[in-house]
Parts: sequence; C-alpha cells; structure tokens
Amino acid sequence: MSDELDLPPDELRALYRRLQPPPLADDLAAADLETARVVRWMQGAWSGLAPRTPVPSGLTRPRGSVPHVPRARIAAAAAAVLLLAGAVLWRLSSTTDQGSAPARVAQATAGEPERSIEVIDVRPDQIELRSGPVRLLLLDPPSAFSDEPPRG
Amino acid sequence: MRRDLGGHLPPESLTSVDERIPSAPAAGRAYPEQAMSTPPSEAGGPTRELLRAVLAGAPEAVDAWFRAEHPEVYRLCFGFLAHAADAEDVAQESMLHLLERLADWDSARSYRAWRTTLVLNRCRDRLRRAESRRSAEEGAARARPEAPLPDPGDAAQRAEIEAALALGLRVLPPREREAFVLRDLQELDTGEVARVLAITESSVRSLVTLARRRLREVLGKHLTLEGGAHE
Repeated sequence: MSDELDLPPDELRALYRRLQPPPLADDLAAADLETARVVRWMQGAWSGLAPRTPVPSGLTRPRGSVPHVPRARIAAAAAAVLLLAGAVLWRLSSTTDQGSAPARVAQATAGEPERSIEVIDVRPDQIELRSGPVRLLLLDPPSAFSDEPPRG
Repeated sequence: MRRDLGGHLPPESLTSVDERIPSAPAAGRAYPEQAMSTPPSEAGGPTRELLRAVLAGAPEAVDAWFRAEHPEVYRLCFGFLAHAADAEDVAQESMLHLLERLADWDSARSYRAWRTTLVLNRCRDRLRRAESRRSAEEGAARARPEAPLPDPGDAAQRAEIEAALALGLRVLPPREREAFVLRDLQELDTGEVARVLAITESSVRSLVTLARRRLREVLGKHLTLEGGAHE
C-alpha cells in the first residue's frame, strides 16, 4: 500500500491545494508528438481544399458602375413634373374670374351642329367644362411637395 | 461584448478590440508600435490597394478579389461546417455578402478578422438552420475512420482526404471547432482568434487544447510517424 494513502487529511489537503494544471499548449510545438502529427495532417488536408464550383457568373459586376435610383423616386419625380406642368398650363389657360357667367370657349363653324366647349363653373380649386354630353372637371392639382412618401 | 440573440458577432465589435494600441493591453501584452503598419494577420490577404479598387468598382479588381478570396472563404466554411456541400453553398453566399458589405469595412482595421467574422456568422446561421442534420452529425461525431488516413499531399485522393478532414472536424463541438479552425488551420494568432470569437485568449487556448486532444484520440492511431497513411 502506497505511502500517500497514509497521509493525514491535513497533508492531503495541502497537496491538493498545490496541484496546478498543466500549462495550456498554445504553441503546437509544445504539444505531444502524436497531437502535432494529427494537427499537421489536418493542416495539410486543409491547404488542399478548393471549391468545386467556379466563381458564380454575374457576380463580378462592379459596384457603383451603374447608379441605382429607386423606381419610386423616378415615378415621384415624373409625377411632380407632370403636375407642375399641368398646373402651369391650367393657370395660363384659365381666363375667367370666379362667379362670372359661363363663357363660350370655342364656336362651332357654320353649317355644323353647335359643339362649343362651354365653361360651366369656375372655382378656386376646380373648373368645369362641357362639350355636348361630355363634362370635364379639372381639379386644382395637389401640392408637388407632399410630405407623404411615394407609394409603390 | 454585445451579441444579438442569434449569437452573431457584430463586425462593429472589431472597433473596440482590433485597435493596435489598446488603452488596456489584452492579457498583459501591448502591441509594439511597428505592428501598426504591417499587422501579421494581413499576411497573404488582399492588399489594401486591391480592396480600394474593389470599392471603387473596378471590374478587374472585383474579379481578382473574388478569385483570391473564394478559396479562403470556402476553407473557412468547410472548417466551421465540416460538410463540403454546405461549405460550397455558404461560401458563395458569403462572397456576395462580403461584396455588399465591403463598404462597411474600416480600412484601419484588420480585413481578415472582419471577413472571418462575417463568414463565421453565416456559418453559425447555417448550423442553426440545419436542425435535421444535427442528429446525423451527432452520429457522425461518434464515427471513427476505418481506413488509414490518406497522405494529404496525394492529389489523387482528394475526395478521401476531404472526407477524413470533415469527419475529424465533425468530432469537435462547435466552439472547439471554431477555435481550432482559426488557430491551427487558418493560423491566426491567439489574440486575433480571441477577437474574432469575442472570447478571452485563455478560452481560446482551452478550446484549442480540447480540440487537439479529441482529434488525437480519433485520428492519431491512423497516422504513421511521418504524418501520412499507414503502410
């Protein structure tokens, strides 16, 4: 029977407290021979790894070569331009004051049934036109600088 | 260090841990001044000139960057996933992701560590999603190679070598696998591994030691003294 088994508890405890773990082998060279061989084998296998599939085509389009503009922005800009142009044209074409009597805008030529375009009503935010059975209501366009984000 | 619920490491974490002159030296070690100009972790990686050209959108630079980085990223994915087909998929996803996020990389910091962190996060995502394969991997983790390991330099046995390498990596639990891949296969220094994994250097050493021990138990008997296959 070994002497260690006969040690009194206090001495055993003292030995226990002096136990130190082996230093962690960070450097492979400090590892045992078998471990080093295994790791070197894996390093060799690792260095030979290569992807089977080539670089995917179409992925090398350089970033920034074509400026990307969101479609919503383009649509919003086009809508704003159209509305502005329409508002300007409408203001230029508007010739009657509020409350004035409907005026003939055009006169049918002689011999033809009368098909004039009449201004039915003029208000600050809309103008109503009529030509025969057709009525056209032109509304004042909304502000081009709406706070709402473009949809879609 | 901040982590999201998915266990991801934000690349921005490199802001605080990748400084070459930290206010509190990690593990009692201060980086020498000269390390600022030539950080060893950048050895073999794309040059800063190439990366700038990629960011500028030069087609030749993007192509060159892809061809240089794809094999590196694939090896990382293979190491973390221990599965060749998954590694192919995630490597291609990662290349796209890296190209999209390259503008976010701060050139004052280690490109390799930033790249590795992004790839690691994607691999962790894939592992989490592959729940159905987990039980198969657990079975594979208990498997042991039956044939002697082929010589890693024998190109004719490429498939067998990859299979043996994957088997060895699957033996390792995820955390040990990550530390082992980065430290012993990717050959990053302990400090950089600690930064990528957001753990202490002592933890890195512990994980690597555990990983090496497991691999020795599984693969050691199948290697000759020269490190190749048994005769």
